[in-house]
Amino acid sequence: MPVIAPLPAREPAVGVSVPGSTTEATDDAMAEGTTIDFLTETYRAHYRSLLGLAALLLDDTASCEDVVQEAFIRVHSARGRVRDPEKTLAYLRQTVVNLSRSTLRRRILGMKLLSKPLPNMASAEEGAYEQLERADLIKAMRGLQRRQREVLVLRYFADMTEAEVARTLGISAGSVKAYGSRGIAALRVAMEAAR
Amino acid sequence: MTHGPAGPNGPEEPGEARRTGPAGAGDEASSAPPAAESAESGGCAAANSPAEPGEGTVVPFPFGRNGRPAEPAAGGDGVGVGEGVGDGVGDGVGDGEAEIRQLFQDVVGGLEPSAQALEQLREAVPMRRRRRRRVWLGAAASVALFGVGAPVVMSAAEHVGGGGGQATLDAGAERTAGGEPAGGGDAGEEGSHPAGGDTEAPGRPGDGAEADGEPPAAGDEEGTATTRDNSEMSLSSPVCARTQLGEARTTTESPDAEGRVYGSIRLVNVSDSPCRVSGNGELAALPVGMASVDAIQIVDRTEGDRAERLPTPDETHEELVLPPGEAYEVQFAWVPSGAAVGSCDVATEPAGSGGPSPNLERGEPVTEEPTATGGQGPDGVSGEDGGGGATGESGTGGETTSGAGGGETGGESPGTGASGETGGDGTSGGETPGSTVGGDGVDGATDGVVLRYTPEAGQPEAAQIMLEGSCSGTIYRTGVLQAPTE
Repeated sequence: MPVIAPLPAREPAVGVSVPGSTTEATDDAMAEGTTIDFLTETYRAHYRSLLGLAALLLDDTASCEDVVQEAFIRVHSARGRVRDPEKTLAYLRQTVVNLSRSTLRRRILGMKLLSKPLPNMASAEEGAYEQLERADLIKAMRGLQRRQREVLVLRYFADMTEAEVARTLGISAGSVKAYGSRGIAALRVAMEAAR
Repeated sequence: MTHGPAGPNGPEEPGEARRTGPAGAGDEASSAPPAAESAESGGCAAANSPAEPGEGTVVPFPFGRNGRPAEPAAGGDGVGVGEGVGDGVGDGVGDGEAEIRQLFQDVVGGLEPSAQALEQLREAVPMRRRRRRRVWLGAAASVALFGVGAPVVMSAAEHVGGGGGQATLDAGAERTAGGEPAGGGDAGEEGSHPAGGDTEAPGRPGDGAEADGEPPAAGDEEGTATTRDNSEMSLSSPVCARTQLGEARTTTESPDAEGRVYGSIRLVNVSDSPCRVSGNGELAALPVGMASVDAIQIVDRTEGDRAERLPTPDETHEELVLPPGEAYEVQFAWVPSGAAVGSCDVATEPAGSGGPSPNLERGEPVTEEPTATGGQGPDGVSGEDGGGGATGESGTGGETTSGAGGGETGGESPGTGASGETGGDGTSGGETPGSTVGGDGVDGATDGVVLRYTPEAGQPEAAQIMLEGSCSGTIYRTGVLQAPTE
């Protein structure tokens, strides 16, 4: 009879107890596997666009990756919030918006620095962020009020409807309109000044 | 969202907000995202070749300058913006939407996730889950404690003015025990409410597999949380005194194919108030008989070392608050050096029978309960647990101590020294003498090395693990871990 799992070399006689533990291990692996697959899926579908979202919302583009990572971790570690793909994206965006508010972000980054060194980014990625830093649009965006900026980004980058933006930011639809139009106007001024 | 909550409650915020959010958002989302997706991918694809964000922004910024009619793509909303805001800006705004979309896409289109992004997530998510669970359990415990404690206090207060001493006591007792509607009922509600907030989500269909860890544990928590000290338990808790840690238990697994043996040392907060475990404690190797410890190294677990199955260092706590009855553990792995595989047996006690431990030979996990139930006897603090402790207090302690001293290689034998000092523990009643006396046997019969664990709080040591035979290898140890609830 074929033995499925390699037995500990020293104790061939304990075969009795081995199957049990092997099965458990397999079950664990499978349970783990399902969540990981979901994580991978969301990662593929949304990670890049969230990176963009963070880059547009943040003052320092260097922490984009951290913010998006943190958002992923938060959303995925809250079991049950991640079942519906549509909702997952909404949660992720919401979290990125929350995290992009500076005080909060500083806090989590502080925590992160304590617990784990930041990954050293590959040079190619650094390059992309450096270029981003130099982009006129980004500079102009930094001149906007935070709310204006958030509305513009959610509305036109994340393609949310006004109602969604309102919900995400916790403001009224009327405010979304107002911030949006003033934001566009301000952006236009800033862009022209930059040229 | 209001600004306040967004700060401290960041992690929870999205979920709460979305409880209503996504339901509503779903309708739009179901139609919007496809559009968004295509727009985004289009943007990225377009931006990838000219990927330079700089180029993207060189494009003239044409909002409304060209006087083009609003593009269909911008849709009704775009028009809405224009109209709502007023004519001056309006036309231009509606017009500029497509451009601003494009600008946004272009400028961030070059961003790529870092190479390790997904890997990091894969590690970080399960880790965070565990942390969340711990935090959540702590909160549940506080709430439960408060829920139980408050009514007791209130009912007691209520009755103090009431009348005769006897009657008061009785009434009070009944209230607490019976969970009388007034107090108990409320407490129940309070207890389960916050819990519900979090459990609801896991409970949703399809979550069964993952959710299982939390709810039962929570129930457990509430059940055991009968003491009064409440919510402030976390940071204000005093550092655990040595006497608060007891019911030490060591477990080892059978050696794996490479002779590695994993094990853990577990210590319970046996006092009736929460305390804070601070520091990792000391794991030391001491020679027994003819053996030497030169060939044994004790190192802290680091990521990527050979003790693969030990929790990684970032799962350990520098400080861990232990509610009464909860335990922490330190895990370790014995990794023999190549030549020594099999020449050395690992036993979690100083082999009572004098010979090699039979349990281990069979490869069964050995669980030893009573090695050292630190100090509860001597202290006499823990009335509840130390039922036996009280009796064993001085009698047993005296005996074992002397036995140890006598049988020893000269005063500082690790094995028996420990049993002697902690011998006051009465829970071990029947067994202790057997295994303790066995200490002699060890020294007589075998050479080896004893691993001795002493909590940071100090002597006496809490547990010993015997490595018999000629051992050479490495012990990897973790810091303080939250022990699974039982």
